Amino acid sequence: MSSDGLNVNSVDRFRKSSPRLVLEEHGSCEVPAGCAGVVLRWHNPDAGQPVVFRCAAPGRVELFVNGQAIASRAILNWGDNTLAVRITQIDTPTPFLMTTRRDLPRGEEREANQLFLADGCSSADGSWLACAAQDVPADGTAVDCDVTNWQSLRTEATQFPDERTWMYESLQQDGAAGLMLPAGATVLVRTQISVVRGEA
Amino acid sequence: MTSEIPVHQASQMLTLRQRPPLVLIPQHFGCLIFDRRTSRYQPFDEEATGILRQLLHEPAGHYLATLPNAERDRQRDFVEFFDEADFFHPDGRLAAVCLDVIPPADHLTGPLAVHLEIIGACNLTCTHCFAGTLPRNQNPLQLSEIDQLCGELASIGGFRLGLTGGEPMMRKDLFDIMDAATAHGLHPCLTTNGLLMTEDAAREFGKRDLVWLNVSLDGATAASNDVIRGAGTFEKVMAGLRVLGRHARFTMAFTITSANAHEVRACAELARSAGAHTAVFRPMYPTGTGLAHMELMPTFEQYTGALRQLDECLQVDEDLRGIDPFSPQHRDDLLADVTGNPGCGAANHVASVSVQGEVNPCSFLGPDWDSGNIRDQSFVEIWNQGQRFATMRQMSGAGCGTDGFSGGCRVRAQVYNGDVDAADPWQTQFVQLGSGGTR
Repeated sequence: MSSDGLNVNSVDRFRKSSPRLVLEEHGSCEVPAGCAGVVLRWHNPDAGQPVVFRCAAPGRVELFVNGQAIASRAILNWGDNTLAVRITQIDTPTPFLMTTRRDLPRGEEREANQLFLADGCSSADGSWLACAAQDVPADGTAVDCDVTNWQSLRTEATQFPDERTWMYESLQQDGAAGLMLPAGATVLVRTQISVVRGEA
Repeated sequence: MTSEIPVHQASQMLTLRQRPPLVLIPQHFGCLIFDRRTSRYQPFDEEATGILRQLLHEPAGHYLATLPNAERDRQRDFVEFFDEADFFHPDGRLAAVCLDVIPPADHLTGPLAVHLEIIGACNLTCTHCFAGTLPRNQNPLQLSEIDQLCGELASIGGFRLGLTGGEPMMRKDLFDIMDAATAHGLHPCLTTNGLLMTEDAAREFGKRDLVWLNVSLDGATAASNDVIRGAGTFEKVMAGLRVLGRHARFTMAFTITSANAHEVRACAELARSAGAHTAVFRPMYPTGTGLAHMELMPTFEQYTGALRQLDECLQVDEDLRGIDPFSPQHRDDLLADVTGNPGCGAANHVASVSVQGEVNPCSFLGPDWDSGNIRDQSFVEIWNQGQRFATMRQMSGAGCGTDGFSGGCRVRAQVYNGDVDAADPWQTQFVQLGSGGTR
């Protein structure tokens, strides 16, 4: 509680504390005036797997899941999904890293290694493809785009720029490999993410 | 209803998903961050706000790298929390827009939620309806006036808009109202009795980004529901839900009364079997038509007993993902305080706008608390300078001695103890149980 009688989040509140302790202010309207009430919410097991994407890239990033533009959250279908990442305004040839984390409700945090989808974490195993600059097709983010001539990203980066070490290390800890991208001011990266029901 | 639904081109509407997911709303204590993905607000102090403003323009990794070692260590957990919470663009900048507004010195820049009564008429005469004393449908706000109101609310960070009535689906331009709200970036919620649901209407609901689409019932059976909402309504609403469920996600909203408090688990089971995504339970309040049916008011024991029944649902239903923290048992450890005013959100977090444009700290308080009309002055002026708003914000319970208001509901305080600044008897009982409060 601050000296003026308010109770708001400060920088120090986040030190060594659970994110579950972050304060929220409730001005509800489904419960008028927020005076009282309770909300029950059911999970629809057929709806798919909610996920959060996070990446480090050498330029501006746009994400597409199954051809649809998204911010950084999406619900993946059970089965196969197409992830496309369009990177523009590339100025320096820094590596690309990406993680895909299950988006669980508060209070359902699980062990770290169960949170991440292996298919959705960048890897030099050949499953991540890229197409650079003038070769990027107009339908490059579409599910049925022909990727026959796309390049497999098999070169793992070993060095990261000093000023962004924190972000790269964090993504590596979560299972992402740093991938070297083909040269170009614009690069499109694609992979397939398979989500199997019951593995969560 | 069906033939009057305007056809909208989805491409013309900026949906919630296409906006930056966060909004930074300057406040006198720092800021509120509104998260569009959850429709929730989180408050931050001045120092944290300064960092967040910096991260609007500078990627987090770059920002941390510029700090001295000790300070970097101190701020790293804060920045990493935002990263974990998915508050950054993929390139590391805060995924937010900042409102260009000068915050008032002693209250929030804007309400966190506004209840807008878009119609006075209703096709039911429920015995507990809070709207019982509202003027009926004389000269209701027009779409253009509602559109202007929505723009004002967006400019001050009041993003949650509850559309109520009357019965909102009796308003022929309902979907235009919802689209006007969404176009301004508001998060509309709608509460309907569901009786007018058609296939076309359900399809139109399904096209829109509604935070909540509440359909009201007041019992798990026709016998317990229809005694409150009228003969035959249970079966008609259930038929409407079957139509609605084919096209849209919906919530079932139950008002806990003395007549149904014992069957809330059955209500929850009904909601699930009907395909509801969510079930909302709130107590009846002593206001409107309910004042003539006080025998329906639940006792504190009946209400808390109902909450316990709902809590038990968690133990037996594997697909029940959680209880949102609106009940007293579930919110204390996450509860911020951005007003310093005990308990009630009226004039502090919320406001209501009547069907004729009267602005009130709470839709339950009645016309004595009307503070101005948006046809005469802007909503922002009323929020900032309305006399009734100022009066309520300054209330501390001190005027009522030891039995002053210290939390809960000011309408319950007014009805049971004679003054909105007197004690809410439920709060008194709650404190006696050894817990924190009923807000």
